[in-house]
Amino acid sequence: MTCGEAEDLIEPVASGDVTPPADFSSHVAECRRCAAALAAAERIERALAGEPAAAPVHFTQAVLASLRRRRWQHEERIDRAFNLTIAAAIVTVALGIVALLNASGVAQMLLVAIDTLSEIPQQSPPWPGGYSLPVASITGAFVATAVFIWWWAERRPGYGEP
Amino acid sequence: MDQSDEQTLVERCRGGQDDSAFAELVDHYKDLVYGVVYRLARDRGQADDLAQEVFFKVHRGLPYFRGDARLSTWIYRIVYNVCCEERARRHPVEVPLDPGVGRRPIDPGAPDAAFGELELRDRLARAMAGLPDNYRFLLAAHYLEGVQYEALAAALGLPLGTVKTHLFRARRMLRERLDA
Repeated sequence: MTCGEAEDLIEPVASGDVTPPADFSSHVAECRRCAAALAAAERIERALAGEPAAAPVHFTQAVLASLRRRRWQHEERIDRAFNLTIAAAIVTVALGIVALLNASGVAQMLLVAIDTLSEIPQQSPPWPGGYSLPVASITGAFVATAVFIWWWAERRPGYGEP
Repeated sequence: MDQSDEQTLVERCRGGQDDSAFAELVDHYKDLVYGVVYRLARDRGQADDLAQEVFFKVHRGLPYFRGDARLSTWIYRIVYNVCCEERARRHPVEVPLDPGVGRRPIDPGAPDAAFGELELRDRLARAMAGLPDNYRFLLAAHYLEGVQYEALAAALGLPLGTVKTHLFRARRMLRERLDA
């Protein structure tokens, strides 16, 4: 066997894919260059096979935590897009209503009505330094609505969990 | 795990309200994925990130997994794609094989007591970094326990003979680079 022929068998023999033929073994026993190449190939095989492969101890928990975090970030993005869409829709509807009122002359009538009402002398509230009753009622209604929405959003299990 | 067990696990992952089925899947394949990724990344932190990315893609892709191939084959394919994407994203710099000034050239075949396994692994890593992606993947995956040529061929979409030829060439290239 020549060195060229032996060269083609070095990797398959070193990896165990091929059983070394007798003429290969006798060639390697006599040829220092091919013997060194075979030893190098066998050392490389051992090094590749001996590489650590085990995942870290808490790898599964880390994957699940990462998965939940990504899922939560995805939901956050959807929530944000939903809120923006709703806000844009409300602004559009409000602008549409104003445009409609202007076109039909109702806005002018409302302005006249507000002017008329503002000329009526306001009675001072029964409590010292407080707001008028309508303003206090409307403010209270807004606060109650906000508290109700907050309670409704929070009562859903798992909502907003990372 | 045989193919019917894999399919059952996939169905449980798809229909599961909690993550316990997916945790089982990760537990079963984590060493396989981590082993390949670590051999390619050569860095624990990066291997952690890449292995997590693989399982994230597995989770996202499970609803579309048809079951034509083995689950492990499909996961190999994802590992290969993730590693190729990462390599392309990082614009890898050429790692010099020259041992550098002040360091003695190493002959991997020499019977030298000072020739450390760690140093050989370091040089192997540098040599592997210069190989084509499919050669690197084959070398990284082939030496994991229980990985068959057939699975690698299916994962890369190559004939079995081509996989064997690529592995042969990859080993030869490694040796030549270490000899240089």
